[in-house]
Amino acid sequence: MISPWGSTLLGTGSGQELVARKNLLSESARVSAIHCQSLSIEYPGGIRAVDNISLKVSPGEIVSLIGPSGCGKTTLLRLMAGLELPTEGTVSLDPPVQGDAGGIAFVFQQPSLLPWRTAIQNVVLPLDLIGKGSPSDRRAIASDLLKTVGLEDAATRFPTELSGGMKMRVSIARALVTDPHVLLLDEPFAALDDMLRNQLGQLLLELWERRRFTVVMVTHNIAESVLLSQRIAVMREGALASVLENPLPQPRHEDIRATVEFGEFYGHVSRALRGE
Amino acid sequence: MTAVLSSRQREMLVSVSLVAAVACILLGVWEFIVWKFELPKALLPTPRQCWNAAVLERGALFRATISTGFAAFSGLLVAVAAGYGLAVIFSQSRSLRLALFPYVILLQTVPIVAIAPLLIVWSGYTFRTVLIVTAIVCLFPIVNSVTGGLLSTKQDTNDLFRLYGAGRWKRLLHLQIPSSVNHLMLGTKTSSGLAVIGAIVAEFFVGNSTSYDGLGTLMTGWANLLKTDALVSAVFASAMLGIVLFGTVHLISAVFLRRWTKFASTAG
Amino acid sequence: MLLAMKATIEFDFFLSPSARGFPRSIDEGDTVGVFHSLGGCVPVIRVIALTLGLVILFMSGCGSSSTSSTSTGKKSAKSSTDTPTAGSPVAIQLNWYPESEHGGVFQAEADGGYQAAGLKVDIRPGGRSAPVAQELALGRVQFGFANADDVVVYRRQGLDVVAVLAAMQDNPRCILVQEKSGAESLNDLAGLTLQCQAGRPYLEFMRSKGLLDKVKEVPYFGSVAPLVADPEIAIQGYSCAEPLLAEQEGVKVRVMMVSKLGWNPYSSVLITTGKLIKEQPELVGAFVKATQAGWESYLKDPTKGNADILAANDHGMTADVLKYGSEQMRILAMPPGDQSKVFGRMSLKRWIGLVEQMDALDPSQAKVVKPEDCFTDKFLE
Repeated sequence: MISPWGSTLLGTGSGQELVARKNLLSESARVSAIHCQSLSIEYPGGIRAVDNISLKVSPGEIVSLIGPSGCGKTTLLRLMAGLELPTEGTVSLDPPVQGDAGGIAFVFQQPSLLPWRTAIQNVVLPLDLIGKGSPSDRRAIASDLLKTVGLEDAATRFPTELSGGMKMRVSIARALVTDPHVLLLDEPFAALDDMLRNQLGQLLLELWERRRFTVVMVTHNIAESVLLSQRIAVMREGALASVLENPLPQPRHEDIRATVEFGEFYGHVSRALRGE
Repeated sequence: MTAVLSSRQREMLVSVSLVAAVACILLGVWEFIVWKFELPKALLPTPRQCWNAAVLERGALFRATISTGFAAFSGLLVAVAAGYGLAVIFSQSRSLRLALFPYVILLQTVPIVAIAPLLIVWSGYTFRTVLIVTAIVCLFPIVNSVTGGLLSTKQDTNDLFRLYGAGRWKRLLHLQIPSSVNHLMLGTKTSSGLAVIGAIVAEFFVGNSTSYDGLGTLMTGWANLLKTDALVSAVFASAMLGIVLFGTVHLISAVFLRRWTKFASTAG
Repeated sequence: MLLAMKATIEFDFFLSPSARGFPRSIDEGDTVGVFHSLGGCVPVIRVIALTLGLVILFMSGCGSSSTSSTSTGKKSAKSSTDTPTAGSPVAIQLNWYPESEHGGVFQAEADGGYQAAGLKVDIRPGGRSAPVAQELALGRVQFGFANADDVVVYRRQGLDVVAVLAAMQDNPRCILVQEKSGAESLNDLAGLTLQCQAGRPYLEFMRSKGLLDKVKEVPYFGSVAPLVADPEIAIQGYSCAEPLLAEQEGVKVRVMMVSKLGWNPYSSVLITTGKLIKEQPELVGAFVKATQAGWESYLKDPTKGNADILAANDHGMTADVLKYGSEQMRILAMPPGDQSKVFGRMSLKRWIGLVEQMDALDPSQAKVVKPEDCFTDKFLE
């Protein structure tokens, strides 16, 4: 269910914010598919961190990348982001997006906020970097996003004054500020406790429900991948071991964790992970 | 004795008391040494004699402290400006950094006593020469610290900037420069003590009472006349100057640049 | 400055409260008394209080000694002499790089005069800031070279320095300029830059006569090189050395003697401490006599002495300069009209005159030094 572009997707914004958003992001709302074709990256010394991976992520789909440590999932993610260049094969987005137009967003494992900027200034950062819109427009959008992630009151606080969970929420808001077509997440909740992890996972789902950007998420947590994603790609030693379709119905809610179907699929994924 | 003091004020009181107590101890040890070894006043005067000399010469001491202080402060400022500029260049160009950094190190290691006469030939017996010597002495710690700071941005943050296609200037403006403020302050604090030393040593070479009046000039004159008590009081004045300079830098860092200095050194 | 101290102390010098071990129970606005609340750092405070107490004890005990520390030289930190014998090693500190002004000492050594007197003499070269007084006061040398005005300066600071022989009756202090400089005499120095040693009494003397008005005084580095390049530069010097050194650098100079202005302290004065005179008079006598003989020999024929000076000097001295210098020395050491039979003799009248001149230049130090304490002739014949 793709929300019509231009509706107040993010909380109860005023009409002014609405107009600001429209003015700022003038390009089409179509989100992109990610095509990896025989993708490989080989480092000096013969180490193939990513070995001949072909994977297509459909527009608006959520895909999890799971696998044991060192299997190359972060490298694959970075290849998709354009942060690394492959030595063989290609990775492309369709329709193509420009990083410097804010089309691709990345959420890192650490919040990586700039300590001298307040929360809202951190969220505004990508807009500052791509140089779009007037400062007041940028601020309005950032403010909106902070409200959506529940940090309305913390807008003027500095990162040292924020808890781990709050910083991660700011990081997510920052990722969304440019209305990206593609959102890539690298174990974003790994440093947080379980409760927070579940909360933020839920938040991610909600944000996705409204905007339906394409999501690829690296995670160690099987339950999280089962809850959030439509497909799960299992990697081992740089190669794609299997890709599993998630049978659970959407939209998904926390409570689904307690169902039998959840447990069955969970077991299925576990076995795939172990290589059975 | 009861008083209502906040814990912060109490801490302050204890801190100051401790420092004062150590000072008293050191002064006592000093008196003791002079007394025990019966050292002549021209070799090592007692604290009291130095105080008397300071009071006697307070006019000259005060004027000289202002003079030298001004030179030290100006030299430090010049070093900060030049050092920061140089560090920015070094952070942007690996080849320039590799090519020129050894020369900055050279500036640090060549003794001032060798450079000063050359500078006098080029720049004369003027305040400007003292300024240049002081700036040279202060330069290295600043360049070193700031270059390190500008280059020490975290991987994730770098990636973030790359992701949004931020070019060299945007990186410099939004990431490197703000994250280097801490390093700049560290380097400047190190140099603040050097600034006073540099100014005084320059005055040894440049100054005599008619051309340029400073602590170094006074020290030279008093040393020649074996007025060791006045000499020691001048040494104390220069130490005070160093502390004031350090304190000023610290104040600027903690108050005006609070936003960029209050966190631990790395962004993230 | 207090603010700076506060900021410094607060942020940099001390750890956070918890690290300091303050009890966490002290809250804001605690009404407990100040000293009671300092109980959290009891051990440290106790140690410091104890040390403070000891220190105060010492200081009150030493209180009386601060006056006694002005009577100096009574006990030196290291005494290098044992029982007074003429076979003791003796050290003498020169007040500049070895030059013809030190000729007598080198000649005595070269002639074997010291050896004959049973002395093993170590001649220590000086330089731009030779620590003559300090070495004497510490007992590391027994004798030194100085000018008569230096003796007064040292005595003013409480050092018991006594002159025992004056090699130069006339002072060699001069100002040199290039021959083509506009300055014809010491009255013409206005507008020049004078390289000189700050604080020297001759400078104050010239200043008191207004000769240094409009003269830019800058530090002197012991080299004549600046004179070569710049006619606007004047340097201080000794008439027995610098003029020829300059000519060797290729510049003809005009020599302007300060003694012509009436400033004429004895020079190349052999000095020692009052303590040594009291405790080892034979040693002092032997050294003085041998040095006296050395000077007389040097002024007759300086060849051997000059050879040794040349060997000891690594500051650009040449044989020619030494030859010139020793000729100048003859004039300065035994000026015409001065027919004293005993070489090196000093007169009370001249010392009184010198002390009066110096007291006039620095009234705050007037009457501190007594002329009769400054010298003794008794070791000369």
